[in-house]
Amino acid sequence: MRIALLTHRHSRKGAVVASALAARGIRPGLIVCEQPQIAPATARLRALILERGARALTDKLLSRLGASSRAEPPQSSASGLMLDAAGWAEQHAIALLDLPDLISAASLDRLRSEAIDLMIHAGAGILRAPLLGIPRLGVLNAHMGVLPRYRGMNVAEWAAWEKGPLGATLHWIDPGIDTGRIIRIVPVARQGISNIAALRKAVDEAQTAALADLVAQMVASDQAPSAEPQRREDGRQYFTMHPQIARLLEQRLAQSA
Amino acid sequence: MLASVKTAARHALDCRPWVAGHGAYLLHQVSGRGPIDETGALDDAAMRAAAGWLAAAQDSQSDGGFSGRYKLASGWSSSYPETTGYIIPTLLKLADHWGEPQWRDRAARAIDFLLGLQLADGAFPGGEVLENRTRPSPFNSAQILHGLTHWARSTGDGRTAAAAARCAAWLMSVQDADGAYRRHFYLDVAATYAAHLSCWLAEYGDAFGDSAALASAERHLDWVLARQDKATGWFDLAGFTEDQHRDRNAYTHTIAYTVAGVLTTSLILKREDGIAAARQAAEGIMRRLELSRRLPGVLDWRWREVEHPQCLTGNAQMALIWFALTRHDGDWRFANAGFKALDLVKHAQLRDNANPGLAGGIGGSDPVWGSYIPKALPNWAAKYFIDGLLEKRGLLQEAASNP
Repeated sequence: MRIALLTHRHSRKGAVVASALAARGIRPGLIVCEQPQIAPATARLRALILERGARALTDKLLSRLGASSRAEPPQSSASGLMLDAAGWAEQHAIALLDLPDLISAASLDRLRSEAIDLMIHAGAGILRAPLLGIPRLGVLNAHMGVLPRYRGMNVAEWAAWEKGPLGATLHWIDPGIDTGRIIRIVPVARQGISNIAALRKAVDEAQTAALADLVAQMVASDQAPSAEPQRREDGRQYFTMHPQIARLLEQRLAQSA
Repeated sequence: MLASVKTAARHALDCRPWVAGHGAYLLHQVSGRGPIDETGALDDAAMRAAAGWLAAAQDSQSDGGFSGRYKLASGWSSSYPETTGYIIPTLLKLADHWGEPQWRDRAARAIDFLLGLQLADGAFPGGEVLENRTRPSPFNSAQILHGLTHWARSTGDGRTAAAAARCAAWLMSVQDADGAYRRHFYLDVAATYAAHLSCWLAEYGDAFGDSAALASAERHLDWVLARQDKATGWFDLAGFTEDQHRDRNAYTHTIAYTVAGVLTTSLILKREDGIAAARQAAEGIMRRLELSRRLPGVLDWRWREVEHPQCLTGNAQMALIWFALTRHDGDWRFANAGFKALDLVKHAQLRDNANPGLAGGIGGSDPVWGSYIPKALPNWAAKYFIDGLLEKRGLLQEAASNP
């Protein structure tokens, strides 16, 4: 089974997923790195001046000049988990494909030519419909919340805030946000979690292990697992948690642990 | 190119950068604001500054009313009865929150000003006092009714209660049979943002046991709900102008009036269909804020950006709606959006300035030359910002004490 990870060069998640697969004897055939979408230079400049004033321009120029003379190579580590996706691919001699985006016709044609059976979302941006039909089996995602209830961002935190179920969901990606067919829900125990970092770590570890296990099963059977469709109305979309709510959540977790 | 330079120069001259504080204020529109305060550390200072600006707006007038706005082109405008009315509940809240009776004294002066303006039939005039003292306005009268209701309930003042009763009776008398308000509206065209008229009738009816007022508010609620786009939650006729009605877009200010009105009336009347309608619209606008990381000043029926500059009072008004839904539904996604919307208003506020017409005030638009109340700071933006910060504080305190 030819497997591709969808990520970006500096994604830690890409490296973590690849490592988890490697630990189960699975070697991705390709690591696809999407170029991160960055706001246009004029917009970034405007935002910088709005926040810090005109002096920010000279500071930035000076820091650029200083940085270029002090440039150091990125850190690497003997532990694969510390690497980013590009570093992991290099260390393990996995083919790495840089694409400017995952939506243009040229990028899609390039991916079609790779005859990929399974794609795994591992740190790339939002995927659009045309890409989803390219792999033979589909595009897998591990989501840090229990679907369909918790869609979107910071869902581990939101579930903890609402005292809802903690866990991760393995699902196929469809054109919606976290609305694809559900393959497996992986519960995470609340006990012992005393802060947001620990919460995220627990859910992240659970989702990565479950994802790697699932892929191992798929490789062994060469089949897609059964999956249940979601109803749109059964879930809510969450967004980035405001720092003041996150602060209250930290207090609650500390008190409850 | 030359034309755009000329336009920019004219706009700059309009804002009189040579007047005390104006130059710093204009610079603040584009430069050196610092990071957005997401910690809440500046909330108290922001509220104190906005309240100080409101006090200056009242002190700028000799009649007890609140100046409608500080214009960069000409300074303080004359007293604005409509918003003076709905600033009264804000002043009462500030008096309680800070334990400072001076805010109640200010509310008393505002009440005296308003009672002196009431027309023989119970209505209040629209616009600012310098431009009109005789032509009645149902919408503006209802905002004043809101203030009268709160003052009468808070103090037991019979004179104010009687004025409120006459105002409510007049509002009911100009309502059409289908529930809409057209008479005395611009071009006699009904608008759904008049939900923010009927909700104060509902509030009055609820406070004083006036079943006719409650029934009138419910008729209008039904009229507004019939104009909701069930696919997106958008309320047609929510804008100020015929063009906005035709193009199905509006400032967040009048969108929020509409949604807040529907929600307030529905909560009072326990109309779950109305609460659901308000929730649907509020959720669509929340999504826009979250995806754009700001709230464009004009939105269309799909909640997409029509105008980029923010309408700051719209941000604060939406925050209040989201907070009310958080209280009703226990859904903190709404509070989350409200906190972010207020952070954006706070970021646009210049707290320190030599000019009391600018220090702590909230611009109509961000940047201030946007199309909503251009180059001016309206008093209602400061009022809603204070209301929002007070409500935010209350929500956070409750959440902290009820983990």
